[in-house]
Amino acid sequence: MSHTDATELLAAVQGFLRQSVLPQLEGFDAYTTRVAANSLAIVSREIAARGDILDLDREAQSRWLAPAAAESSHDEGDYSAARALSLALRDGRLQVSSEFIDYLRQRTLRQMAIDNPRYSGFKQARQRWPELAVTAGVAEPGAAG
Amino acid sequence: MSSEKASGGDVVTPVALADALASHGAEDENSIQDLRRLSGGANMETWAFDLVQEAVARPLILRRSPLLPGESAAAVSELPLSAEAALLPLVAEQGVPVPTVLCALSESDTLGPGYIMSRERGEALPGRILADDRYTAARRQLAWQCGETLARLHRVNLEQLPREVPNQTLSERLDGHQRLLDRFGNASPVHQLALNWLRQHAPSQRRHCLLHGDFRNGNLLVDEQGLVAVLDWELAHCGDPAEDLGYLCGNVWRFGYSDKPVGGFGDYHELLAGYREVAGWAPDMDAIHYWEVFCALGWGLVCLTMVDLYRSGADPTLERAAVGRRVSESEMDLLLLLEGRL
Repeated sequence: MSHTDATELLAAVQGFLRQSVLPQLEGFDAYTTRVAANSLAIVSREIAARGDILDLDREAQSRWLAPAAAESSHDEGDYSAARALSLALRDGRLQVSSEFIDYLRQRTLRQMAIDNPRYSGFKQARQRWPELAVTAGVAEPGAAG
Repeated sequence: MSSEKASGGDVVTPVALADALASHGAEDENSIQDLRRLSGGANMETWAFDLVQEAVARPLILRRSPLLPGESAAAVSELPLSAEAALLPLVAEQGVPVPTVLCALSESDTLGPGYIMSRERGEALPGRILADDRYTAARRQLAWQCGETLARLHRVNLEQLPREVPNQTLSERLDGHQRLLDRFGNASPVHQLALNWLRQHAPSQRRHCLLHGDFRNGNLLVDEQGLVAVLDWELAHCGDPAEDLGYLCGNVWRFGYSDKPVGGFGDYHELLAGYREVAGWAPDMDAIHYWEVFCALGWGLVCLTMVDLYRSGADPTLERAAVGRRVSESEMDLLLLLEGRL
């Protein structure tokens, strides 16, 4: 048996907040506790899926930006590729194509799946662009426990 | 931080309130009852209390800032409370339902800067307004009432406005948005794409008027008959009248009820009909769409501002940190709004 992994700890704390703490609170404290549990759920989903977004960003960076601009950022794990693309848009160095828009849609659908899969716009976007949405399920909090 | 005024219970006391309301009939601290803090972040406090005279309780609100003007860390410029207090009577004159201002409190007042106003009865929580059976009849009228109310508000004579009310051109505001995006790291190609689109499609501005600036579900006090009062005027500014209407329709302010474009409760034609009834004209749907895009980008910038407040230590609360993960809502809405228009 290995030690508890990070996602298991996160799921356990969420369970504690929702099942043990929340029933004892009301008003602003109850609200903030819900925000706390939701924030942990975001972290759990991000651990599972963030790499996909960074891969998409790097791929887009090498596809649409000149090599010089693409090489300028090699920080693993941050959003430097997205930033490079954004700055190129700002400065008029990037021609917006339908493929580029599809990349933005894919990226945003993935980010939304991490941040708030219940957002109304997320539902609409998945219906509108089903081929761009990820189908791989992200574990719901507690589902693994 | 030596200039920071004390906040909370140290300052807001029945004695101080009775003192401020002496000319309104408060005799002593016993005239002030049921004092409680409703909400408040680092920049703003809201307190509820009753002013009791001859056994009649008058429900009141104190809105005050624990900071002195210029100390606010907010990136979005907010009206000083003194200007807000001066604005409410002006819009009330045009028939916009707002709380009645009893007294403005300047920086030199113990409680200031801030003001005291009537506490109106009604519901402001969007979740309840959109779901409770109690508000079924209200929901049917609300979009029309919002249109009518906005048309009245847009009639305020600009020459009477407090000088602090921002009056920028659209191009200046878009420049400001670019500065904010850059300041926050410009890490969202969707936000930059949207800002480029807003520049390329800026409508030629034929009309210019006072705007509420944050006219949305959540800032509207509602009862069973519909709109009771319009609250939270700190983002008032001058601009294109279509902005207030489009903003109200932003998906983020529909609170999940996306099929009802006006605040989650109504349809476009009702809002526009209410507006036309008073103004004699109404914006077209392209203009509404433009300002929905503006609203979605603005929401993204508000979220990023919250992250900034958290990171700077100015407001280290969980709420501020968590709202940073709502940035993607604005990105999603922008991509939906811009489909077929790029």
